[in-house]
Amino acid sequence: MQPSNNDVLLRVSGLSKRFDGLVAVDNLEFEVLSGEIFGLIGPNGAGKSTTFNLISGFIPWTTGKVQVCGKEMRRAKPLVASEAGLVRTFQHGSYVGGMSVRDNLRLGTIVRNKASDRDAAVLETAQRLGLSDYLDETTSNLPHGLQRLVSMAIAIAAQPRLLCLDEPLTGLNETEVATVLNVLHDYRKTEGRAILLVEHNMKAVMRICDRILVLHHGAHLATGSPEDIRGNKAVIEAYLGESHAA
Amino acid sequence: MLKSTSTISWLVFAGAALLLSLLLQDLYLRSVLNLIAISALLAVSLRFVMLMGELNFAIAAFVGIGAYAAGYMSTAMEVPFWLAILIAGIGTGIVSAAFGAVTLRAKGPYFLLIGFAFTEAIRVAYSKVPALGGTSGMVGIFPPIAMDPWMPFFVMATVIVLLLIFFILERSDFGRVLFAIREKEEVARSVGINTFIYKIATIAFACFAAGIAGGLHAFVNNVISPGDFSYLMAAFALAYVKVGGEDHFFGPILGAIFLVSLSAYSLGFGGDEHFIYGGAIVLVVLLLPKGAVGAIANMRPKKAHVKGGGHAALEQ
Amino acid sequence: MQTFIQLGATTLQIGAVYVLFSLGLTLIFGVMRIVNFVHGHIFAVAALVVAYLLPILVGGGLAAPAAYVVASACGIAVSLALGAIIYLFGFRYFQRDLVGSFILSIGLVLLLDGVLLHVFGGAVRGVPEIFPGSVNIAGAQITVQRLFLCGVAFLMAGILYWTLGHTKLGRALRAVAYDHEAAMMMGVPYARIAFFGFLIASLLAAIAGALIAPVSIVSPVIGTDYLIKGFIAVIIGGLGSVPGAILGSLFVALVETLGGYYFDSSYAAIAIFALVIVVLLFRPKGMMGRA
Repeated sequence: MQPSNNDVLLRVSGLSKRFDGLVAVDNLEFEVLSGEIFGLIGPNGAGKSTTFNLISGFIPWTTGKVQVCGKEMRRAKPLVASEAGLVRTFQHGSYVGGMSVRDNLRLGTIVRNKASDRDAAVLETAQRLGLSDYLDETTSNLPHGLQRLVSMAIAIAAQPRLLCLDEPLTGLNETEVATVLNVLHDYRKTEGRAILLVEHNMKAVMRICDRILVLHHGAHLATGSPEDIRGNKAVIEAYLGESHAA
Repeated sequence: MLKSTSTISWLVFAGAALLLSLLLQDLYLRSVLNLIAISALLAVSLRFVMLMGELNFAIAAFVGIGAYAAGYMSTAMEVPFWLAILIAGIGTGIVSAAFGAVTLRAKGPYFLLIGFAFTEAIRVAYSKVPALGGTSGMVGIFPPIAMDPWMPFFVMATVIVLLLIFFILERSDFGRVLFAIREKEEVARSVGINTFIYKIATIAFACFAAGIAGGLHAFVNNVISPGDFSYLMAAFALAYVKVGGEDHFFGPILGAIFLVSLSAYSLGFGGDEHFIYGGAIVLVVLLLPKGAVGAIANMRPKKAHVKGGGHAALEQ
Repeated sequence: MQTFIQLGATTLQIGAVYVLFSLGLTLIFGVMRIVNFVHGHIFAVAALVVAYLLPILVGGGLAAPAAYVVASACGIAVSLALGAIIYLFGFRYFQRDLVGSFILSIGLVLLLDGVLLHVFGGAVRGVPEIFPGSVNIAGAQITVQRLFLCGVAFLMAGILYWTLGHTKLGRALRAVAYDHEAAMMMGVPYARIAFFGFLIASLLAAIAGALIAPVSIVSPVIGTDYLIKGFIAVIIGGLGSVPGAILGSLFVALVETLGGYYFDSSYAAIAIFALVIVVLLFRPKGMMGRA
């Protein structure tokens, strides 16, 4: 990990993605700062997932610049992004179902830890997420809520500076959501870390995020604190428009 | 890393195999034992690459490269036989790494078929090189006469060492990464694992073993020709894996033991090797998709599905 | 110029059989996502039946062309029956399972190798020319027999192309090849369509086998040679693509023709492999391939 620029963990400028004439992301510009939980929200089809895939290096952008922890990203190289300190989860099944929880977590520990330290790292991460009792279960056998925790645990085990979560709360009940929010709250307390969150669960987003960026039709609609966003007319219209259409 | 039951199984298995290789006197049976050992090595190598989700159908080409390299070094360059085999193996591993680097971007059926095309193209290449004996092949590949009584032991010991390495790799974090690559490669990549390097390393080691198998094949048969290394060799290796069971490390070994013995036995009846292998594969694939190992596993009582008690709140 | 025309004609002739062969391979992959190695034997069986029956029929007094038609019909029927059995008792259970179906097809290849050897013997057979003589087209010499082969091959390719584009069955096949789950949700009877797809592919291989009998020596192993080239053509063109199969087949035929003319024909195998590598380096799914 490069300890170059400690404040700005993610700097995105002029980011655009075109799919054969359809503009999925339009000239996006934002920053994620150390210590914050940053939310990326927007109505369906706003381009959240595409943006997420772009910054984590999983799809190439049409134009733009992305800097992770001060390192300039080249296109579509997840390895470079994670080396710079960005780890992301996936919307669906961000775990290896056929392996035990223990082995899944171990995947996260491989790059950052020497072989002799990995066992301890797994146990520590499992404890953080309340998975200690499930370490030897096959992940595909677990209920949905636990599987989501496993996904997060794999990412957290890799100790990223910028933890990027793609809709981590989908399908979780109130208690499970509370557990996750606590974990996130604790995670960013450590020096030099931040969390980027794509989410649909408005209540949770408003509760936990320090800053929120609202996307609409792939472009920046509004940025600000939860209070700012809550009262923002344009944002309300964008969402209302969606529910009218739906 | 190795559980105590595994260690005991290994000691028993290795001990029995090595003992057999020392005690068997009948020339024909010794040659069958050599064939079983080499076949088992190939089958395990093939399954190793299957762990990452790809079918290395080019394996026969690499066996051939190892065989010809070892044969050439021994006959034309007078390299000591054990060294020839070792260098052949290393060379094959390096060539396969280059092959993998170029071809692994093609996945699934494309990678499979490229392996097939590669095998056939290399076969043609051997027959064009006079130094390698052309279409009639290379003859006179002999280990020193003093080794004659010890060859089965040498072959078996070499194979067992390589099998052990495959086993350790599979049970280690390397194996876990391969499993992840097969099922959810993007998750491995997202936590910083360089899956490309892992894939190359897997092919390289699997084909290093194939090259060694080729070298062993050359010295055991004393004569090699391009026809030995056709896609059928890969097909047979695949048969051993499938019939024995692809879900367990020992599956391919069991498959090799069973099918090679079966064909040796059937030769006594003017047997049709292809027909029997083919029949066995078709039957197993249709009736016992998980092979012998799978059938055995099915006979054990299934583990109960456990739900955590203290975390009822986390369940739906 | 003369040479080019002759080479072009040779390419078309060789390519014609590859086209028929690879169309079947690509169709099966497109619809069922399986790599079918037994295709070669379906082709070989038709050729073997024709090579076996023709001398008998002619010896029995039937005129050569009529005997050829009868023998071909028999050969195609036997091949189709074989294909149907293989599908119904085997591949039907392995759709979308690449490794499983591949292993099954390898088993069937080995099995059929033995069966064909026992039934037809290892000897190679020659079949007398049905359409004697040769013609001169734009300066290139082509035997009537081979011209007939070309004609039928490209006619079949055209019919297939038209079927895929303009019939209900064709649309169903394409729908299944593109997105089989969506197709099923729209009411396409997947199992039946897959079966038809397999039969059509086998029919193409059978016709190819019947066509090849008079122009080539027929032995139980001819299937393998065409299988290799057929798959290479299909990789280059892109698994699942009909135009890709045609393009790829012509490509392979061209390399083989040029290779045979300027160098030793066996270098063609190496050249073709190099070609595959180059194509896949830039287009990992073949020139026109889809997932």
